[in-house]
Amino acid sequence: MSGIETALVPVGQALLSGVLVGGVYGLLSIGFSLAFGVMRIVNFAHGDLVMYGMYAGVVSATFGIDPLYAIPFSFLLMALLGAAQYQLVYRRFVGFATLQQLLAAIGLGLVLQMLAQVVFGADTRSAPSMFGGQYLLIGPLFVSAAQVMAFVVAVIATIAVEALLLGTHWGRTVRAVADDIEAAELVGLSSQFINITAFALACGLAGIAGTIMVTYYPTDPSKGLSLMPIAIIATTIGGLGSIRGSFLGGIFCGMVQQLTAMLWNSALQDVPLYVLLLFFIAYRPTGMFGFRTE
Amino acid sequence: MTALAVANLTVSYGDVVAVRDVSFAFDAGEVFVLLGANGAGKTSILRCISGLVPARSGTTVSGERSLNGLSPHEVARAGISHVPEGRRIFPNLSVEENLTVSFIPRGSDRGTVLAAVYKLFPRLAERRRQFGGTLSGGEQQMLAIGRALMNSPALLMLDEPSLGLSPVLADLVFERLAAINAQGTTILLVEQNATCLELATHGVILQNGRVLLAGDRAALQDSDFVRRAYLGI
Repeated sequence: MSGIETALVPVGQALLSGVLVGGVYGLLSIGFSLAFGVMRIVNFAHGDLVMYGMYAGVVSATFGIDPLYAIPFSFLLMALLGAAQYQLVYRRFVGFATLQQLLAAIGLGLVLQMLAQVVFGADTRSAPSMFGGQYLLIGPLFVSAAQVMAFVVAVIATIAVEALLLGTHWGRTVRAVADDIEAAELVGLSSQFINITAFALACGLAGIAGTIMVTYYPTDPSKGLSLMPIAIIATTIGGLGSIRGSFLGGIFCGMVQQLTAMLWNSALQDVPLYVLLLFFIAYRPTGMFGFRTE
Repeated sequence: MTALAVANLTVSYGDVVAVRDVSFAFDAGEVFVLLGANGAGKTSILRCISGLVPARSGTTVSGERSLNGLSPHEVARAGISHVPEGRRIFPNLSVEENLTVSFIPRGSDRGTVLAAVYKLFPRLAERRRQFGGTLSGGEQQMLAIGRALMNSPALLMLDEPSLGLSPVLADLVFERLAAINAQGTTILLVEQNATCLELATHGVILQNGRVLLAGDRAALQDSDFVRRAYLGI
């Protein structure tokens, strides 16, 4: 290998790891984006549902069950928890992201974190899957098998959500409510039913994201909160309300993080993301794909 | 049979009273017109019938069924379609999705009702794959009416369907409404454009939230109010 190629290997390595990590960021961002796009709810507790999804993996691992098998249960549990949250709290705030709504979400997030601390303790926990500790070699680059698996699950889940929204009657009703909730009611659609199911789906996706993430990334009760900036940045870059955009925004965030960690310092890996967030808010608030945002 | 009976309806937004003690009723098969200038309370009456705003007092009854307290989708499912002011189509849904998402089964299957709408508005069939937001104003109005017809409604309510349209397009819309009525759908039409009286069987003229005059088409057309305010005579 020539000198230039050798120098490029770490860059390629960082970009590849970034894409894999970013796929999961994308998955946790589309749930956040969906709740905003359909209901104009900024769910600051979304990350805490990801954290519970991570603990779902931990719990199944302690029973000797591979966390990958816990994914469907994690999805259902978080969907139910999401539906309950919607019914108890968010229902009142549909259509306008008010300060009260933000405070309610932050409060709900704190309750969820405290509850996790009581139930699971404050210690860091991890739950490797059957792919834990395995690596694949792609030419000079190596990747963790657990991250590849997580990426594949994230892509499948994202495509499934897009197919659901674009190709099913339920998906059309969700998009109709997102466009104009009053007009949707006038043509006979129950916005309450559509909103609660869409919110449950958004939270179920947080559960999936958490459970696949815990196979390579340890969790603790504050993990959800630390993931929220990523979800916010990914959806801002991708375009709030756009599923595809949020997923690509997540991948972009993963790549920027890994490149920064390689070229600069891993402790500062989020700094360029915050700079990008400010740039997008100032110059392109609709994001790259945010054609939905009026 | 009475299609809709509104009795002593009062609607207010905070301290502002938009509709004061309004009563009217009409039979199935009619084209009933609510005529009045901006701010007369026409839109508030329709929004109240649909359950979008609550009545402060008074009742709305369709056939035997009270509509008071129903949510808008329940009113739609009771067979009352509302084409709102400003058309309010779904801009990010295709024309065909706008129609299919609005289908409410009542005997006929979805394909049959869709074909009937396309027959009434062939322009929509040509544009079925386009996003609703890319349509012209006239096409959006056709889509809004077509969407309401996917409910196979017994009563079709329209809020100023001619607003913002050229006179030619407005005439086309009124002509289609006459055709819809001829097929048996009762129509409640809100307008400030007096040419719609051509279609009317009965109606009321509203001013500042009150009924100024009620009567049949001839009575409304001959009224001083219509002559002065609308025909400029």
